Amino acid sequence: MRRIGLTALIVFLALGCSGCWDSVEIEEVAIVGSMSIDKGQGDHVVVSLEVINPSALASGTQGPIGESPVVSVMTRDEANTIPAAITSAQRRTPRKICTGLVGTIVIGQALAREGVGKIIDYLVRNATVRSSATLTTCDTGAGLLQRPFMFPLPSRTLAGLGESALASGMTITVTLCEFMARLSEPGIEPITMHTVGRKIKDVQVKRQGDEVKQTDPAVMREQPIDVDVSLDGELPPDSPILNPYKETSSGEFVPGTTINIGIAAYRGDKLVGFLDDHEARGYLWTVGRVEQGTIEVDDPGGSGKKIALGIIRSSASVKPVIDDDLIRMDVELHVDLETREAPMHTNVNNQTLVQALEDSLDALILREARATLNRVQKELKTDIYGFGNKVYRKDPKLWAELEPRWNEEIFPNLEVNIQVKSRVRAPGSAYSVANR
Amino acid sequence: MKPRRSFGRIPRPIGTPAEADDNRQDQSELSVDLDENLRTIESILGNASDLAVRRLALPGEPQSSLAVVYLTSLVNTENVSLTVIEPLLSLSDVAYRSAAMAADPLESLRLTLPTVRPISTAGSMKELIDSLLEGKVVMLIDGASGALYFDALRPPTRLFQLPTSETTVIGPQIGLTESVDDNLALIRSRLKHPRLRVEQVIIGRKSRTDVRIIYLEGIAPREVVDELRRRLHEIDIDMILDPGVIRDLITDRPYSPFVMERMTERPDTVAAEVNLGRIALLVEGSPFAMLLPSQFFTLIESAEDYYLNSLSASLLKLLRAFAYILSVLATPIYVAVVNYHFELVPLPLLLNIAATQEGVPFPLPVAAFLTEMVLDVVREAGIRLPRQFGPVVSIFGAIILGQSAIQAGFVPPGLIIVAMMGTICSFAVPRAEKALAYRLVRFPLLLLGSILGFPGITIGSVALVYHVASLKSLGIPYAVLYPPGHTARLAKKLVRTAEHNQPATRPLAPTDKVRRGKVPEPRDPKNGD
Amino acid sequence: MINPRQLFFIIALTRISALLVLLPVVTAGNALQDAWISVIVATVVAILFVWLGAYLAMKHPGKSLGQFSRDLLGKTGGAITTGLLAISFYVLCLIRTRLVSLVIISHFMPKTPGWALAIPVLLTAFYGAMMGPDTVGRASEFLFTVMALIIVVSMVMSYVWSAERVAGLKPVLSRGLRPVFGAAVPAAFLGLMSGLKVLALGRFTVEEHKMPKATALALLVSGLVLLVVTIDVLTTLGPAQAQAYVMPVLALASSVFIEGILERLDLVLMTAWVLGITFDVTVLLASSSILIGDSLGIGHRKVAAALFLLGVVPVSHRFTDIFVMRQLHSIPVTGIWSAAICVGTLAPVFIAYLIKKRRGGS
Repeated sequence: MRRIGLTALIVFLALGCSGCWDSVEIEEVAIVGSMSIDKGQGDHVVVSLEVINPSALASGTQGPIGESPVVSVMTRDEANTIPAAITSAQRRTPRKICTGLVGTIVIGQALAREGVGKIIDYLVRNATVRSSATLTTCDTGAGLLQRPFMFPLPSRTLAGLGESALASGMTITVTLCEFMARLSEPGIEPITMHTVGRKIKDVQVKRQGDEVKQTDPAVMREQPIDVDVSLDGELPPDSPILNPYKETSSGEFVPGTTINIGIAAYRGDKLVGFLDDHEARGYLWTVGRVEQGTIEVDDPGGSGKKIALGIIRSSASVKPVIDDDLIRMDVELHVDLETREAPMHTNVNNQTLVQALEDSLDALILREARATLNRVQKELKTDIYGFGNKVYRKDPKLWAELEPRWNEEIFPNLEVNIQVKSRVRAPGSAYSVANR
Repeated sequence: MKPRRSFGRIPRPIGTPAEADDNRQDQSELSVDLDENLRTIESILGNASDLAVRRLALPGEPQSSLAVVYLTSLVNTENVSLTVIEPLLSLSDVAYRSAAMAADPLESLRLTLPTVRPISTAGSMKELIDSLLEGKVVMLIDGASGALYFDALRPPTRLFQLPTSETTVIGPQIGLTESVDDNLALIRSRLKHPRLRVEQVIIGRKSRTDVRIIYLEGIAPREVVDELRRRLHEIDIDMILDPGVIRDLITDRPYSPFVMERMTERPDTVAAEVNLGRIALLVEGSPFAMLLPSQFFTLIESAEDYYLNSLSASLLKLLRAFAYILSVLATPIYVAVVNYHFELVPLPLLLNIAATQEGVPFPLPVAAFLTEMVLDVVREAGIRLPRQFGPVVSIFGAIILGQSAIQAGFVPPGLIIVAMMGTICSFAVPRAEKALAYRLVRFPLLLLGSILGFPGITIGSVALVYHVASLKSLGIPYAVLYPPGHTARLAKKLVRTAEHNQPATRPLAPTDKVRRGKVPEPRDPKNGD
Repeated sequence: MINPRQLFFIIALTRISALLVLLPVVTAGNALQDAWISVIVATVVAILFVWLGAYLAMKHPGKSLGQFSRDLLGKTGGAITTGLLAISFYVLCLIRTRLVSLVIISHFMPKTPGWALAIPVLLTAFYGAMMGPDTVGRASEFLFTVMALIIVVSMVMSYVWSAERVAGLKPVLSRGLRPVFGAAVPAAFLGLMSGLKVLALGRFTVEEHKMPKATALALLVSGLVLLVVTIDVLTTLGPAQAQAYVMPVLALASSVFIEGILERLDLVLMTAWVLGITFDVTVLLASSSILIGDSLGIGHRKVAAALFLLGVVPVSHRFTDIFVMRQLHSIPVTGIWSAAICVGTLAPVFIAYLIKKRRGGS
């Protein structure tokens, strides 16, 4: 009996040794760190992949003398569907493209407005892309993955930017998993992070006798790339979206860098608008996802200057109140803050001062949240807050009736009461002696 | 049980007849004539150069004579005159004559000789020769067709030394030696219980090795002892030089890489295990005692566990278990992950691995096999090194060879790191004889990992678990993770921890009473305690 | 000989691995956010029927279904009832072997041929079945510990490190009870199959009076684990999206991302699953060979060898693909199958037992 088993085992092993079918040598693989998908001519999609060259990153390896080795390569291909574009990129790449480690997926604005359903389907249907990959919507698409900043890889830059953006409290990272959950859940609409491109200027600098090209740190912000996106689907042929390598009117070459500035709101799978900076924070207050950040308030002590407070945590509870046919949402926000900077002669330990501070904070936060709510309700008309979901959970039958009209009619006129309770928890750890 | 064929047997030239195995002369009776007996002895032993014959003339009977025969190589010759010759010569006339006139002179002489050592009678030439060869001193008397032999004048063996194969940081630092009696002394001094049974079995046609079975009656399961005795009696082999030979002959599964008997050089370990119901086998000529039956999960136990406090010992055992698993699975998992599932690895680490693997000519599985084999060779070489060469070879082999291989780009450094980690983890496991198991087991798992990736390793591990679970040591299952009564003991352990100040051990029999000792209540002298 | 604790481990392990990655409560049927109730329903139903079986096994110590059904129902009746269960076990064994190989191949290693994974699984199962039930019992102790550890760690990681949860379990039962019961059917079937192995392994169990309790406890514990996993899946992926997956638990696992340590968890969970399924296939093969052997009077090792050789071809041939596999786990198929087993095996034997007890007082 043992002989039968042994023989079977040996036969199988011999057959098995005929080929390790899926064995992939790691040095034959082109690892893709991030992916960007944008709209091309007509129905096409433009897929850009950031292909990493690992040996350039390894410590101790040297490139050709005088240059550092190329760390990552951008490919750019256009086709009807995403897999076809990737295949066409594969044709030009000597290594096998592997998308399994993609960390960020950037979606171009033009394509997003038409609907990201196709992209999501591709990402979900393939097991390779992990569902914890972050999605971002970008103004102008693909070319902006090119320039890494503070990290050797663009994908690492993007990931780092995403995480550090949370520190401002004005944006959040949204994973593929969450996006899909929002798509499929009734009564709540998806969001992603909103990323924009900024141009940077390169200058020639003399360093140790050689002329080296370096990013001019002084010019690193606030020069947006000119965008001309007409929203009915046709891009002008010289649009930077189609040709990110093209020189712009300023005459400088445009590899850009990206920064995260806010939230992109979707209705279903179509992009409807952007909420940036304080608008985004207004949204985040209402869903209780502000984790860090800074708020400036006028000094109640009357010095005319501002006190800066840091946000420690915030939470929001949303209760739907349904009587007869009137639906109302009661939102209660609790925010904890601590003082970070105060003007001279203001004693932040004073109880009355703290009280006044909290009152003005309440007002400020309320204003922010209301402003965003108004814009989202009236202008964007998409229920990214999940109020419909609350109604659905409370009374599914009512929701079934209301759902067809929710985004267009009911949500824009929904009455939402927001109550803010902020608490200044700490005056900081010390105050400056110069402040006396 | 098949006797083992020795590969080193010298081939006989064609045409020479086979020699007769047993010497027929052995079967003869002892003759009455002393000289004839002596001649027979000398011819049987082939005029051995260490055969000593000392003829004595007893007082008062000039024509009768005694001869004392022994092998000088086996017997402590200084003692012979003290313990044999002098008692003989100090026999008074009277005593001798009364003995001579007794019905059985040999017997009465045996009872009256003033010596402490027990004296037995040999009836046949075979018995006489056998006892000579066992190191006994034989006394022949002219006129009596029998012989007396004095028990066990053992030659001195080496002094007690460190147990070199199982060193511990704390605890007794003494090891067993090659002499069974000395070893028995060490064990008996640790277990002074009347129920400690020591049975003797002589095994081996040509070596006639003295093998002792030691167990605590009532705690060691009787069926196990009987089974062991039965198997030992069935052995038919030429030589037993070491308990390892016995192991191969009595083991349940000779073809498994897992060894089901435990060898130890430490008398405290022997005593502790015997107390738990195991059986110890001492073999003359080997400083290793064999403990049966063994359990798989003891491979993480070391002798120190008895001497450290229980928390440290338990954590160390966990660490060793982890090290064992790592030593078996490290390289296969590395190969499987890097070749099939590199998406599991965090991107920065993956980029490093990919970078270091650029330019390596071998595919990773091939490099892994080569590395593992070279490491095994280095390990073997390390054992066999003559001491003078030790540092040179270790420097050359391990450091320079490895470093050069990496720099030349023959093997990826990531693989070397993982393989070395596996090797070092394997040394953390205290049981030397289990070492072979993991060394063998790693290669099939590596093969499976190379062909089928992670699922292959999983399936292989399941098969391995089945194999280990199917092993039985003397009929007792080898790999029992939760012995019966385990949950009750665990609950007790969680509730009343102070009572258990020894690490968990696995007694074998339900009737076993292993008393672990209570931690005494703290007493405060101020309160009048 | 196996003791009741090992029986518990065996049944719990087989049920967890049967239901873990594919999670039919979520993917088959339409229960959506009430799928967790389906888990509870399935567990309760399975316990009810399996208790019957365990009770029967307990009342006939030392005998498996093959033997005592022959005592109760005569040679032909016994052969039919035993044969139904035994063949069910065997077919399920082959299905699960093929399923594990196809699912892994289609998700992780696309170019590997089907037989390359199916045959090692079947071979290992054969080895385990050959070694006998006490080996399987001892192995189950270790494998259950490993599997429990992996699942606990995965669940903890998933709760701590995964995405923001937008979906919830409310509204409860908004779609009525019918979808809930519907989704419970495949899970109940697999639970039934796991538990009824006691009818085969009962012959080798010491302390028979503890068998029903051990079996019920095993189904309960595995049901609990499945409940936790189901709730996690539903809240992270969203009920509608979860239903669309082939393997929802792997999708859940790939949403766990720990910076610098772990990119994705799905390979770890997959390993646990393969471990469990290999063991499951072993126990199925062993159980069916025990039942057939006892019914026909042959030694079960020989039957196991025959079944193994018989199974090599179906498990490796290309005509069974993943769509067929999914069909075989769907509600109508599993519903009919479990009904057939209850009516064809459990009911007759139990009724015969009651009749015998009433008549003979034995």
